[in-house]
Amino acid sequence: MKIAISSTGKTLEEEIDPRFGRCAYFLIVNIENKEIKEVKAIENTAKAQSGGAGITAGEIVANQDVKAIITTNLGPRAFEIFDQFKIKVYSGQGKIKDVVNEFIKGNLKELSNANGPQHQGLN
Amino acid sequence: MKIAVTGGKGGTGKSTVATSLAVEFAKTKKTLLVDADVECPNDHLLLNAKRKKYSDVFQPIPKWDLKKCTKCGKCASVCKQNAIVFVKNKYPAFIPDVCIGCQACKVACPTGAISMTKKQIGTIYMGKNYNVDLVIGELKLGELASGEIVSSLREKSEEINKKLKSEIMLIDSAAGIGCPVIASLVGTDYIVAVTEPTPSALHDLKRVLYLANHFKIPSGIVINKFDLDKKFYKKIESFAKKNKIPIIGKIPYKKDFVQSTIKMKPVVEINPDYEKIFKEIINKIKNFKK
Repeated sequence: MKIAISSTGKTLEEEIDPRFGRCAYFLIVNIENKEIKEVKAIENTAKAQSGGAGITAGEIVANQDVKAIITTNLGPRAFEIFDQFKIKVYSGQGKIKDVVNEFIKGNLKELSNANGPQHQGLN
Repeated sequence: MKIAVTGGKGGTGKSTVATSLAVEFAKTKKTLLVDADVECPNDHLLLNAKRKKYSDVFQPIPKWDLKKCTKCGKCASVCKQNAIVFVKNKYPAFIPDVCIGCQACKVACPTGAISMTKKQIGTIYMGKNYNVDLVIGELKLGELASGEIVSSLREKSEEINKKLKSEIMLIDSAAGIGCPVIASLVGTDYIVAVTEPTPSALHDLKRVLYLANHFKIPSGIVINKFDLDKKFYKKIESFAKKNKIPIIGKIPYKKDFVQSTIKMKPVVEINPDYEKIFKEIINKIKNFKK
């Protein structure tokens, strides 16, 4: 299955970007048999949007056919999109490689509500 | 007669002028004041009037019949607000928060899967004090469609006025020149543009008078705090002369106006000397009508 992570850079060695809508990149990680098979970085073109970045970013990620996303804080609008597309949202922070391994082990917390405010990434 | 009070720049004294004019008008004529500054309505505070809810304001939002939806994505492609997100092979996701109710999605849907339901975007209140009837619009926090609230407020004011039969309807607009201000100005007989002798106020005054001219509504300028800067006051005067827009009032910069706001009393209650300033403005508006 494919998952998406909000990232500060293009590789698994980077840190998670705590902001979802305005993160620099999304890492699309393909996991098969509990192992990382493939990593692809896509630029978050919504990053500099004056408003509605969470929605556009949500669209970008949902278009990658991912089953789950990992970020630190997710605003209400992006959460709404993932909820309706039945994409699960997990919260994590730190080095992406470690977080993905925790995800594989089933140790990450699933979010059932938005945990970040709207417009958080603008600060 | 319908009179809009506007001005462009915020803080020039639109609400002070609107409430003072309303109190003065109400001494001889039945007067209705409409607070159309729906993002931050304050007239009830300036008049110390208790608000009572009159009705809610709703906006249409779409609802999908998934049995009819073929996942074509046309609804999302026409949504200018980006309130509909489409991903191939999935039913569209909808973020009600961002929807402004344009209904383009409903028109674009080729299978008739979209019908309209509604969400609350604001509230209309009523109040009364100093013989002035007050109708107030207030936008719900987080909503975007302030122009919609003003349009709805204007309609409700007409409905309310069928019973009240006020001769004078004053509409206190928001700052700016956008949608909610335009909705406040349309269909009025006279525009009172409140300004002050500062560069930013004159700049914004020009923009709002451009609107008045566009709608072919006669207008007059009230210079609030006129004694703040004599030189700049002259600048406004020559601008008015050049464009043949009358200056219908000058209000001095006095502590009484601050007291009026703090004590929630019209300024004429604090100091009756100001009565003649507002009486004169009223006379000039009336004479213009003739």
